[in-house]
Amino acid sequence: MSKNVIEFSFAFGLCAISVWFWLIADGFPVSPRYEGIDTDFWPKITFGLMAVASGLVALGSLRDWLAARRAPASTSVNPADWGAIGRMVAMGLLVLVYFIAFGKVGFLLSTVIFLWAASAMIPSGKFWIKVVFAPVFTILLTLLFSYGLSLPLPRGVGPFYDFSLLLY
Amino acid sequence: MAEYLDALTYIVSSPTNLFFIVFSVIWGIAFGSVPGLTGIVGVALLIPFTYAFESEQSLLLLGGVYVGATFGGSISAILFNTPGSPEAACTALDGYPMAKRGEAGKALGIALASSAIGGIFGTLVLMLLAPPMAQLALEFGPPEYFALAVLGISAIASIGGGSVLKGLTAGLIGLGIATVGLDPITGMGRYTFGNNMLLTGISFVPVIIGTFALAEVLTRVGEGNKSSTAITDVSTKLPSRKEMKDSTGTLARSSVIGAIIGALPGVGATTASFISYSEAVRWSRHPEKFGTGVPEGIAAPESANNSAVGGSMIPLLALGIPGSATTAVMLGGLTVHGIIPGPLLMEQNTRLVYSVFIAMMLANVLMLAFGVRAARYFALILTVPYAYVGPAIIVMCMTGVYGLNGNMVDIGVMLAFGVVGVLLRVMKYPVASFIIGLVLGPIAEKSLRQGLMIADHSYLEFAARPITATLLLLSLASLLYGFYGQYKLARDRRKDGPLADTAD
Amino acid sequence: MTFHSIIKPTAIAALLGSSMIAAPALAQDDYPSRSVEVVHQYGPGGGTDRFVRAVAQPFEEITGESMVSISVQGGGGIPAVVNFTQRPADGHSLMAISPAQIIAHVQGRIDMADFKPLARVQYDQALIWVPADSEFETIDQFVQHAKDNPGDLKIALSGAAGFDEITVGLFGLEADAEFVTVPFSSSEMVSNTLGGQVDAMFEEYGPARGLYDSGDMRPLVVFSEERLPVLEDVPTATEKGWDVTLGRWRAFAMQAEDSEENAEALYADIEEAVAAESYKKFEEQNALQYRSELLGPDEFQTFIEGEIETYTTVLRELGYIE
Repeated sequence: MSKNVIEFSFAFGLCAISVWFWLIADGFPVSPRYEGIDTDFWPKITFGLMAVASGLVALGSLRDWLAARRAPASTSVNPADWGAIGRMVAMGLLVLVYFIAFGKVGFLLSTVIFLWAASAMIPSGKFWIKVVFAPVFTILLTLLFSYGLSLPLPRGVGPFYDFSLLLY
Repeated sequence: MAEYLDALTYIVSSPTNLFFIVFSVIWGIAFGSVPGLTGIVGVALLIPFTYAFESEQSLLLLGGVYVGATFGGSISAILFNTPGSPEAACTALDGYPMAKRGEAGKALGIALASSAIGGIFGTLVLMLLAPPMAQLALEFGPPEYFALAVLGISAIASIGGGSVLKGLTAGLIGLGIATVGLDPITGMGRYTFGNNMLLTGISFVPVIIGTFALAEVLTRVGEGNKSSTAITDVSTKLPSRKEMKDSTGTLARSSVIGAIIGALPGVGATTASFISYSEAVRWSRHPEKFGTGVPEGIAAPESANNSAVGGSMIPLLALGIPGSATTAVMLGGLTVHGIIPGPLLMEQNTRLVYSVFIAMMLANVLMLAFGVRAARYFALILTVPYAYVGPAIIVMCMTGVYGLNGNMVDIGVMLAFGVVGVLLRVMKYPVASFIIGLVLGPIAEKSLRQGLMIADHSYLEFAARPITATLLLLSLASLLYGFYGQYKLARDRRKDGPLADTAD
Repeated sequence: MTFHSIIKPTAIAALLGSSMIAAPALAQDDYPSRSVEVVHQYGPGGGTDRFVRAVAQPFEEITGESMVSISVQGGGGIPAVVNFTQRPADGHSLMAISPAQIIAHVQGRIDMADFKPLARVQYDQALIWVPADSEFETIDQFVQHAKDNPGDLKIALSGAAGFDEITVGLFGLEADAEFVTVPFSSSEMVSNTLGGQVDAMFEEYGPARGLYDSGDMRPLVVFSEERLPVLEDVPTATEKGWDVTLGRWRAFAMQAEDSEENAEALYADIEEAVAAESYKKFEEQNALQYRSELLGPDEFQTFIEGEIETYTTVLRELGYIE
């Protein structure tokens, strides 16, 4: 896919979203008390301008795309680095799983497992340090937050809540 | 003068007092540098301990934390692209690229020196000009706040060095995202899609941590072997005198902006750092280089946010109105000591007020003294392999964001904006414009609507005020100038570009 | 840190046999057996946070267990309620509630039935303040001006569609006068009033008394049943025939499923804590002593029912709900 097509689709997507959000704003409940500056006032300005700006970006990249097609010599081919995208998606999914576990399982267990998994995915460092680092770092953070600063850490729900309760 | 002498004798006479200042600066730097834990939390956590001390001592402690925390945020911003506190978000824009080039020591040094210069300037303004500055702050009604926010926002088109339209779009995305949640005037929910949890809206701290820190970790993981090995050639060299001298204009301008914005109630160090970053770009001779690691890009926000610390003490001490969220917490701490906040505070508690002046001065000097030594060692953190640092950053961000509000929605927001951050980078929409819109958008919205309510919905009455009109005209000129620059660039390119015959 | 070695085996046992432990706790003799956590929607260092900490200090001396303030901010208090209701009903999780919860309940955002009222501790009173150079000397002049020039007077208050706005809205309805209420953050509210951007502001006595002492602000009317002893000359709204006595209160609530025994035990502890000298001192420093009367579970329940009724009427008349 050419770079211009991606550029165009992204800008067009933004434009479509802003139009959609403008329309949602149009449906906000109104009150005579706030006539002229009601709930929809600022969102309409913002998303209206955004629709115009992103629409112009989309038009610009469309023009570039057409121009580039007429002059095939200057077509820039953007080879997608699938390896990089794969690694990013994998790490993204891992963080997502961590996020869900963070609330449900609680801080301690989810963090140790996340640190093991995430450090294993990154190809630098030594294996045994990674193994030791995860629990040590987690326990230090728990001590710092829970005991040092008495700030809340998620304890999870159900059985995990009771488990967490015994530790912090 | 007698007041200063009295306060100075008071501080020096007790080793406890001196210890408090040292301790509080270190405590503040630590809090500032952990993402999610801000100076507010650092101050709030100390308040229960201050019950046992004299009111002067408790204010020494809190003032020192405030000074330290405002600088502390820049450490993690520079080293890990993870702004430790919201006021350091702009510092990451140029600090991190500089550190990535291997000049972490220099970046930290500039941040430190600028923080100290701004901090000392702000304290001087507080000492010498508190009553007139407080009067000036009272002149600022909603229209002036609106104009100030618009002035900052108008820079979004010129930031990032790329397309003006993309800068505008990125800024407007920020403005749009800020509208999610409770309406600041009518209290209605906006874009909650029936889910009441979304009434929280998209808060600023999780968004910056997502777009900066998380997006950076994801990008580096994506780069794989190339960058997961540590940066080995970390230079711990501090900036030379000449390098600091080149930023003199930026430092002076940003310190003044910081002190004024700090003195305004309701806005503080974060707004000050964003507006002064915008101004640094606007007044620079090479605006396109911002974001690639220029010294002014660090000097501007750091001097402004530390100058705002002194500034925000002005309404607190002169009027009893907290100028920022952190001073609001300090105010709560003062009432415990039987001090009634109000315009009489300065008269009735002379020693307290002058002790704060001296303590804040000392705190800035101490910060510089410690920081210069510590900066070299901090920079060495970059030599630790990314397999430990990357995941640890994610854990710190999650924990910090949770600890701040105890709200899982905020963590969800942080993750979502990690993805948004990656997309913006890949598609070359300037992240700087995006966060400027996000920070200044809500101020613009709220004050525009407040101002219109007060002016009986008359736009003319709203704008026909000297400060408002001047600032608004400046913004308009800046926006037009940005478009003109783009037009000129496009025209030049068309004249001698390869697509000269097909473009029209 | 020795607790890890001691606690770990028990922790694993708990994980295995947790369903038994997680069952609603019966009243135990040693209740509270660990720290009591109080969830609230306001920031650290704010009025509610300081309220919880002020009660916590004597509470710890009485029970030997700590009381911890947990701040879950944002979203009109919804996230705080969600955080609270997700906790087990074992008597160790409380919520600090205020009129904000009543308003959210009336708006249909939360359900007051999730709470078991425990103790109402603070009850504040607010006033209308004008800057010293204002043309208005009395509340009658102020109201008359609003009647003659509907919408001309602007009153600054803090927070949108919250307690402040509802009270001033009710005042406008009762006095049959039209005011424009402009929501600000609490510091901007003061600066805009002092700077003359608006005509008046709505604020409790405690936070505004510094400005009164210095002569920068003048109170016109107090929303309470009785005049404030420190402001003998300031009339109440009721005296003038406007029935506005709404005040901001701060209270503790338990989970709806918590046992009666625990509630009684905890109320006794709180009653003792609130009577302690350190708390009384705190109350005085914050000028909250004038109508703060401790209400126990039953009286508080009745009070809440009355509040729901009042706020429903006012919110409907102001057009916030159908």
